[in-house]
Amino acid sequence: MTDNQIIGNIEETGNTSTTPIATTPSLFLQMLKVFAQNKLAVISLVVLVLITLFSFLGPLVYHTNQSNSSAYLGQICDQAPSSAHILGTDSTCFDMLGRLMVGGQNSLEVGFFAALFAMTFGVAYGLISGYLGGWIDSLLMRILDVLLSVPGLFILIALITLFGRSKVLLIVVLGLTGWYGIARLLRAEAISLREREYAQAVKAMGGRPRRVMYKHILPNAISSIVTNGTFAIGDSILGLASLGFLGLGLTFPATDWGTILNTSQNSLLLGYWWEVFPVAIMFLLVVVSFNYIGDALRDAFEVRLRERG
Amino acid sequence: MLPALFHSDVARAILGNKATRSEVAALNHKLGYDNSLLVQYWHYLVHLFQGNLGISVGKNSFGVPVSGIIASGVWRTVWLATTSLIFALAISIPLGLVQALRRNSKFDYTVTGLVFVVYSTPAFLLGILLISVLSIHWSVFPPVVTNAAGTGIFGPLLDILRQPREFILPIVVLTGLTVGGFTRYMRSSVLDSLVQDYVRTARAKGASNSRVLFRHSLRNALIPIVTILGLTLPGLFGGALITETLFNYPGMGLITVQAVQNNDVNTVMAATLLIALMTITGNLLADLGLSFVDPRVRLGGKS
Repeated sequence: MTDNQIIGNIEETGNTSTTPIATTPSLFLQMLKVFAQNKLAVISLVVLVLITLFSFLGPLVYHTNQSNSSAYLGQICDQAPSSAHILGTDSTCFDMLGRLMVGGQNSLEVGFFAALFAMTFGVAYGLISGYLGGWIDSLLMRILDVLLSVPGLFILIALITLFGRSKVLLIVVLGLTGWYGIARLLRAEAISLREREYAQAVKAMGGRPRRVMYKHILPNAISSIVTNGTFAIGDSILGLASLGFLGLGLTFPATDWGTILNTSQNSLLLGYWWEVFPVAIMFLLVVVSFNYIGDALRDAFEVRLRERG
Repeated sequence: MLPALFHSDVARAILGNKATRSEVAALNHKLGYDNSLLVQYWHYLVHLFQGNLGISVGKNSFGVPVSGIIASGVWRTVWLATTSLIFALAISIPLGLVQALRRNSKFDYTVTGLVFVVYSTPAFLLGILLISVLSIHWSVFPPVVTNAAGTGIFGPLLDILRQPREFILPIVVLTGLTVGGFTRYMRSSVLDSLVQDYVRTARAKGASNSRVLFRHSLRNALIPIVTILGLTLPGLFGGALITETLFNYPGMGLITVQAVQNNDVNTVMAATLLIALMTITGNLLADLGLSFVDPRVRLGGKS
């Protein structure tokens, strides 16, 4: 494809009858094909869908009390798996399978929304920095350098000490530490694209910077955004789990995968495997799946790059 | 200087849930939190440059100077991280080299697969796994570091040398964090250097295989590794935080986590500041190391 055709595809207005519209769906199909060829990615996608269904629809089928452990008061905590509790109970007497579902809900929700937040912020930051350039660019990038020099986990912990750890705050805090990579990428993309003829043409016709950014630079950066977004969800889930493992995740009785691991840390010493391994396996599956899918998406988008020439 | 900026919000966060209003006001006044934010920030900065990190405001350690709390941990973390880095390099450089030399062999694929597994396993899972298998099931290594009495700069290093058994698991966990990335970089770096013109020239003039490999290829392949070394530091210190908590080793990480649980904002700030400083120092060392490995990189502006 030539630059002309790209403008035709991206520009929503204007008569683009010369542009072969048919390339768009076939391009998408091509990408789908590349993605589907990656067996690991397809398996990962299935695993993710299953775990999401398990976490969100599971509680509708498998009823447990997850807000008040006194429901199981008459029973022994740390019960081994039995017919009454398929995965046993944990050290606070909650049903472990139900705990997994609730923890899964929270982990997935926080991971997704934190990534969304990080992406939105990072994309805006990178676009502004790269497109405007000059001293604004220098200032924004030096701020980014400062942030990058502090280990993310320490920033997370410092922010949590200051702001607390409700679900929304955890999303914000994880989002606030997850946008560095995408900001850099978008800045680089904006710098290279703003000098292209079509961006210059819009400027010459009197288009405002915002229009150039939204209509011309952003669509071209969509592959980096989607790929990085996928990795970002995995990273956010990992970040939440790290915090939870340190005892800084969601507060009782709410829980997430990391917090479950934290509460059951001593269970391992006592041999209560059902409190550790199911959640560890599930968590690892999700994080690895997001990485595989991100990899496959990158490959799939490369089809478009090849097409573009 | 970022943590100091946050400092202003801190008063509300800790003192909000303490005692009566007048008591809060009194404590606020004593700690200087009733001043305006700018004045507080100014005081914090002035104290910071005088080497005064303030006092602990945690419940259990109120009034203890923060520098005293932190000082004991710094070198523990530094030595733990350094030891693990040495191990990571000692494993990944030969591994990546052999992988590159036997590209697309069974060995290459096996190592790549293993590296991916180690790389994508988070520190705490690796730690839990190692503890459950090696400490609980087989009791080969102790699950916690029990004797970390060493103080001063070299005390912690002596601890590690004296009872390596206690430190093997934490070091393995930390090494696992970086070894995967290093091996990948080493492999691709050697592959890149093997097709360079200077390698062909060296071969053409009749240099032996080992001479080409060690003198021409490896030396150039190591250059990017030095850069990567600096870049992994933030992740390494983050991993140290998890590892220290897991194995109860009182370095910077454990101190930070305990300070958070203790609502001790001053200590958290100081620790974050110090970790940032350590990261920057590490990066500086890596840059200096780069000019040592690669004579083309000159320090100073003139070219």
